[in-house]
Amino acid sequence: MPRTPKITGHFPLRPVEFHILLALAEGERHGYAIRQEAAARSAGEVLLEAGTLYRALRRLLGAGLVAERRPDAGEDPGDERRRTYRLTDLGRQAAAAEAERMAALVDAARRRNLVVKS
Amino acid sequence: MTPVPRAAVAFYRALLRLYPRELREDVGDEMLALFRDRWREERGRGRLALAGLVARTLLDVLRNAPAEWLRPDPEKLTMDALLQDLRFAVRSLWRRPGFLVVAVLTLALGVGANTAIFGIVHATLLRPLPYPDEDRLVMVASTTETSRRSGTSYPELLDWRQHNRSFEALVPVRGQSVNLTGAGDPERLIGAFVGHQLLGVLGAPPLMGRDFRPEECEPATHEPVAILNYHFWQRRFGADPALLGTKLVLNGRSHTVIGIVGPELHPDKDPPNGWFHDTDVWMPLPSFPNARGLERGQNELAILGKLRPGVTPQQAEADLTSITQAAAAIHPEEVGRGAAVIPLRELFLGDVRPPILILFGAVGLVLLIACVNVANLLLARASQREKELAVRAALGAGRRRLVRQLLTESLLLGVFGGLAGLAVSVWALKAFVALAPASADLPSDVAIDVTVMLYTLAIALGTALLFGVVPALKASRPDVNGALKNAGPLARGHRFRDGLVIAEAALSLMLLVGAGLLLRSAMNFAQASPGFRTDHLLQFQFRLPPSKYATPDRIAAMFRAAQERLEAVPGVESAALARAAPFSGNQGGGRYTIVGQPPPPPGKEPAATTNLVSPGWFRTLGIPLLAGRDFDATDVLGAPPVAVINEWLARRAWPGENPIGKRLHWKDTGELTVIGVVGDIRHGSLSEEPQAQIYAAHAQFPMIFTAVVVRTVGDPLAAIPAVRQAIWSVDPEQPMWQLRSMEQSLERHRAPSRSLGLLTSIFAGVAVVLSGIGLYGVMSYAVAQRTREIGIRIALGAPAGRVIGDVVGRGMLLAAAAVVLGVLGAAALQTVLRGLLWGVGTMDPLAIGGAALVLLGVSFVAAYVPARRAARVDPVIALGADGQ
Repeated sequence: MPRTPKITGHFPLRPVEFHILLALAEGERHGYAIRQEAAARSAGEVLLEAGTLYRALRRLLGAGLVAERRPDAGEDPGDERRRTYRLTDLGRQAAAAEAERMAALVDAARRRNLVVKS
Repeated sequence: MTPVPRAAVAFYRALLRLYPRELREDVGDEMLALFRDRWREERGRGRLALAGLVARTLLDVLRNAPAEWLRPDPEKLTMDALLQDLRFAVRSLWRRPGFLVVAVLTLALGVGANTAIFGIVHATLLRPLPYPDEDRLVMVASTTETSRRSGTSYPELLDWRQHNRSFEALVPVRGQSVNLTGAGDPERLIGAFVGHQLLGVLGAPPLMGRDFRPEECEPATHEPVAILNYHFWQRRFGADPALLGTKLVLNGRSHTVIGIVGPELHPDKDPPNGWFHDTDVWMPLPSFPNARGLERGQNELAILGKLRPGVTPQQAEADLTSITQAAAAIHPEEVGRGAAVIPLRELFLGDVRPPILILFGAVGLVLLIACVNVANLLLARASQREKELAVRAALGAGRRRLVRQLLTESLLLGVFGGLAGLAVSVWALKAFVALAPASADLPSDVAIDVTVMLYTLAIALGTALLFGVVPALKASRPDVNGALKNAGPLARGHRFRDGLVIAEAALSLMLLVGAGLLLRSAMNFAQASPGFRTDHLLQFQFRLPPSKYATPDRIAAMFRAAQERLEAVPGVESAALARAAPFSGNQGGGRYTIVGQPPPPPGKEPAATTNLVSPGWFRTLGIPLLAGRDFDATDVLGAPPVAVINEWLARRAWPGENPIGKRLHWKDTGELTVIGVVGDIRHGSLSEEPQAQIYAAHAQFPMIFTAVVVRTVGDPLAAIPAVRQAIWSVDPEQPMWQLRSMEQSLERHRAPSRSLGLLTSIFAGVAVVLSGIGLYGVMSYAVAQRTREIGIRIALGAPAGRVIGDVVGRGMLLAAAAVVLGVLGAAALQTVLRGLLWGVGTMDPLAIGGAALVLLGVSFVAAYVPARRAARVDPVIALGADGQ
């Protein structure tokens, strides 16, 4: 990274990216777990297949919002090697900022009676 | 952890290769691991879930791989680079308008034909039936030891209703024409006698008034009420709301109109082969005119069922069959009976599906051929551009940038091809619908709608990638050194292009063979003789109201009078009546035994098609009388019952003997004495095999329904008004219907095979032309490449004929290889066609030979034109040329 990225430079996050950040907010996960988490959270709306998921992860990695951990060479690989991903501080801030941005939008909509309060 | 099948892993690895190497090396293993997890997850949910995973995975790659290739280099400004690519693509395509036109037209043909057929697939096979919970609607038929689909009796239905655990509703439906009299012209209506839940199950509650009450549909508490369909109410009564509560005379009895059904059940909204919407008037089942119709053994009801959620047709079938078998302990006539539960979709669409899918497969092949063709064009073009690409590579353009540039060009081609294809499809769809036989019953609203356009977009871009990826990858690896040193175009890649040409020619041969077989089959239908003279025949039918014609004497008298009046009409040669006219859709059948021969075990008696005919029937139709006599005026009620049989039955029943005077027993009529033998005819369809046919005398068994056939001197349709008046002179209240010529009836049987043959021939023709263009392109290119060599040969004295022979020979070699492959491919395809062919074997030598000749002929032309050009090469110019 040539310079420290600013949070605002990442807005708006794509929905897929936001879902990934949300899934990682609770801790370190590998790809399949991120997918399951996003599917469960969205009640089956967000179904990430490999291409979409890993391209998004690569974008987030490049932007410094997530970090990856590769299995060590010495580690027992089991039957499949697995990389895991976690949120960076910047990623956590970006997710929070995005959530606030969305909350502000919802608030604005509510004030205009577009959202019926439950 | 359970292992994932090797084929699945290989499948995903192959897909991964569509991504740029850099991404593959970074996260390829992770993506594969995720795919494995997904496979294990979906496997638990069954095959369908796995198919869904495969489809989603394909979509995923289709969406992400191009995006990844087109992803701008991180260093470059994104929009600028894309726009630059686009501008460059436009310019580079524009520079060679010939290439652009051929490529776009090729794509337009492939995409257009595909879109049009998809429009039909979408409107027929993919659209849900217009009923709520349509996936739970089934038709229930009874089965017997000899029939998979027989009617059901009312008591059988009551047993099922009482004991089943599978159905929410079981509704009897008995369709029959109904005479409307008393107000205006007498009219024949399409009637249905039904149970009370029908409209609920079809999701069409009355717009006005009310539905039937359960008790109105029970025999003990039956009321004469009727519900009218919207379109009939509009047509006949001008949508007069005051009609509700008034009485109509239906089949001679007064019925109260209690409801009008809304426009949901308009005939235009009927699915293909559906028949619920045709109904003009619904009445309770007990209104059915036949008094014995509801007894056990009268197996005449069709049953519409609605399954409970989660119950499969197989479970329901087992449920009902066990009920019938339990009932057989009390009612011996039910022994051997069971139930068949057929999903409504299957029943309606089962027959239209095979021809539509065959057409869809054919246009799929055409599209594939178009793809191959364009890929070939791009390859040839890429090798012409080798120098340009090498220069760009030498100046520092990355491989990825070159691939992106070339893919942008093919995507642009895809967009142009898709737009042109859309235009083609609008026109093609009109043509296809016009060519489709009426019996295909296509919905009236087949059109290019949003879904179809999305499909077009998807196939246009999908094919653009398909034909663009390989050339782009090949071309982006230019041999910088060789190309810049001007070593002449490289021979590399010509094998690949040859392979593509062979592949497309082989595919078009397969299509040609299929089309040839279907055409041969259609010709067989056209030439098939039904066994009687079909020209100058007018036919129609009517049903007498039982209230007015209550006794057999009255019915017989009416029929006799009708025949006399008809024969007195000027221009009518003869007229005759029968229970069923050939090719009208009506047909009688029954089991018979030969008197004096040991009877077969019960239920194993031989079957015959049967008919009741008046004197003069055989003469009017032109069926030859081979022995004995026709029915005459002495064969009346009270006289000994007599029969005329066909030749096939005479030979089968009394081989080597004179059948006249012999007796046979037919269940419906009792014992009959044979008085005559006539020629065999085809009655139900042109493809039916000869079978036993028994005719009894119309006057000895008078029934209220009759068909009439009139032989005319002139145009049979011109006789319609006079024929109507003749019937009305006997009974002015009698409606008639299905007035048409015999040729028109036969046309309904011939049209489907002709349409299918014609349409596949059109597609095969397009395919052959496309593969001819492909071969032409490859041969022209080869000639252009070898200009220098050919020039040397001519300079050394090679005669022009020799040069032409060489070039044409190479083209024909490719075509011959395609013929071999194509015939093998066609052999594999034949199982698909078998059910649609008649009178022609699937490996018919004429169809295969003809197809091979057409392909070789087109290939010859495609090779000869460039060969002539080669022979005219001027050695001086050729030797000076640098091969470009």
